[in-house]
Amino acid sequence: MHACSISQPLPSCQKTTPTPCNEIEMRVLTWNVNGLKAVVKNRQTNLKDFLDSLSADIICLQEVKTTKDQIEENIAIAEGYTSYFSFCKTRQGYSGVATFCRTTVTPVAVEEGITGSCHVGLKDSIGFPVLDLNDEETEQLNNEGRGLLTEHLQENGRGLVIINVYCPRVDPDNPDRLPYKIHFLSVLHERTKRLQAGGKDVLICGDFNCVLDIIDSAAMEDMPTFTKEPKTKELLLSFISKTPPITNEVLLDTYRYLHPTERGSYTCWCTATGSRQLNYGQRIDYILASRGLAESVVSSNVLQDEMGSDHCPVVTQFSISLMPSPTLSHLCSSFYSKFAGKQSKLSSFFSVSPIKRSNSGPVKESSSKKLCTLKEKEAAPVSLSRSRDVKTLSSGSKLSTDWQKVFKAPPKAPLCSGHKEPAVLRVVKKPGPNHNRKFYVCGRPDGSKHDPNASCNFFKWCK
Amino acid sequence: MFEARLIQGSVLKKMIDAIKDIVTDINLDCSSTGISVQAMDSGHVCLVLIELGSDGFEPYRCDRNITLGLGLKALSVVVRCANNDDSITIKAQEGTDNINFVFESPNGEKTSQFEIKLMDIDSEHLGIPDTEYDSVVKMPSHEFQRICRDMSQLGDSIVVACTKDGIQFSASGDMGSGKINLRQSSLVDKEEDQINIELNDPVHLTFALRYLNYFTKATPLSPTVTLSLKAESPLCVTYPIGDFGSMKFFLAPKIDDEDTAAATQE
Repeated sequence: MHACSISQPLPSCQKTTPTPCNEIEMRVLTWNVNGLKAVVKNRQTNLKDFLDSLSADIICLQEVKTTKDQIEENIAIAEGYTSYFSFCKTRQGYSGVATFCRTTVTPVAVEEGITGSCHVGLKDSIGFPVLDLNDEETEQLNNEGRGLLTEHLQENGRGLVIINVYCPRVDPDNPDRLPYKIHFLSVLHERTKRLQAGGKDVLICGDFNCVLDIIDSAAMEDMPTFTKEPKTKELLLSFISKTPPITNEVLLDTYRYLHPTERGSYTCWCTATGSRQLNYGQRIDYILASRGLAESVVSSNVLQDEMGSDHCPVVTQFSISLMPSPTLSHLCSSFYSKFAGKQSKLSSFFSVSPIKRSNSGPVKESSSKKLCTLKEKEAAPVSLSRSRDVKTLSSGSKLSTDWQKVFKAPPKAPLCSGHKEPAVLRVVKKPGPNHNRKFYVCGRPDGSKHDPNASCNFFKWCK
Repeated sequence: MFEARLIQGSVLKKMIDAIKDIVTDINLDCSSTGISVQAMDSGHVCLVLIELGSDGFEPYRCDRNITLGLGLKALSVVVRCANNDDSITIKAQEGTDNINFVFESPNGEKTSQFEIKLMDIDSEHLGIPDTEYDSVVKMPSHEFQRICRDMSQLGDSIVVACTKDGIQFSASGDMGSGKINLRQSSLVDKEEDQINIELNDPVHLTFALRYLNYFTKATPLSPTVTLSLKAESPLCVTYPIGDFGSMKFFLAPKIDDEDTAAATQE
């Protein structure tokens, strides 16, 4: 049976699920968007079209980077979806997760924070909380907008809990965060065990900020002995498996299960070094399924073509069918007092008139863009040769040497050893004896050691 | 051949400033009677309608109807290069893919020329029905701007209620709530400071303040603004431009969602 045919068929059902009715599927997507507002804006689209373009039933986003005070309707509410947010309560423009569910899979319960302890006693709580923590610990774990749980009802009557997580990142400059991260992950693991013991299936979707295997990190492929955060990795490996789990202790990494040897399926790249160009990244975003769901995994993909963030989305398809809840959780963003009332569209008042444009410019946008790029390419070498001309012309006369003393041209960049291309000038940002010193490195994007197109290890201090 | 010279170039600057946050591209529909622009935001919630009569330009020449598609980013960059007292001439030759802008200083000593590439913009043209509004309120434009700005500190939506006692704007949010009442003014020195309310039927409508704050960017265009309201219909905010044109903004109202209303009552 298909979700459309159950209980209350919503009008948008038929439109949003184009699959034939005998095929059961549910697509879950996770993406660290690194600022939801910016992603939607940069794509010059609105939230609904943005979500539709991801074509998933449940969309878990991390690092939405907004607060309840700042969020506006244009990124909080989309037609055809119900949405839930967990904001960071201690810092603005930081962290924050959001789950968007198609109205065909409206959750029966929603909880903020991974421990579940804030929802004890509330009528629409998911239950099975982790309670053996002190108040301070609970607050720390739940206040940074890192966990959001939605519970959906499966057709077989079992509950499916989807945990959207943004695991803490340990900045190399701030190693104090490591114990917090370890604690966060162990509590997350504990909660999943309790939920399963309570008869629920569990999916964890999110950014774990940790590489599990050599083939998941380009840097480790180059240097297999190197492991960042061995403690985190050890902990995650204790409960994430590539093969269908046989206990409630272990969760299935859905992507690795279906693509056990696929290389280069990275989900995150460093923006500073341009490493995405050569796909020199790491796979740190996972969709993990509990034992009960392992048999239902149909496909899993890393959507590396989706731009807009330093991460890319991961999507997994399951052959299960969910039933929409007839009531909405009180955490649904459409209940925020500031969004009272529903925005109507102009099209419901004004009709489209069949006026034909009289005459438009013969040039299409695309071709004009082509023109621009052509010119830019021509311009670069021209300007170079011109500056050389000036130098040769002026080098003879005395006046110009006087001027050269006044206006010193920047020293010519050395050529890098690998490509014989001009190197780029950088400044040391790290505090220490070399702080603010300038140096030259290869201008190519970061990549594998063996990739001739990648940055070579050229380095030279600037005098 | 299309050519139109606007003596007060600053008017064009202000118009572009007022719409550049709402739409990214516009089509200038030019005919012998004048220039019009209709553009909608990507969410299809608000619409901008600019109408400029040919008598506002000297000279004005439009041999045949022509549509000029322009990216607002480019337009905004170019128009910002004009001084406020410059005149602006818009020129387009048939068969070319450029539009020309010429800025001339009042003493004629400085002229600047800019070219922008034309774009082929697909846009839906909406037929805006002639509407008999329930209430039409004319007020100082800076007053309306102030109200929208202040109310947006409190909430995302503004409730506009027009009764025989006057017009009331209210907003509420997590922090608290606020109300501003305006009454028809009896005696004022300047006509533009007057508040004038024409009421056929009381109305009560809710709008998203985000859009109203975009609209009030047009405040420098005119000392007065007119709000035309009708129950369950879009709001029309009109800024007259001299005596030859107007800039209108239409905004779809927010409607009470039954689900939401039920849940908040729970």
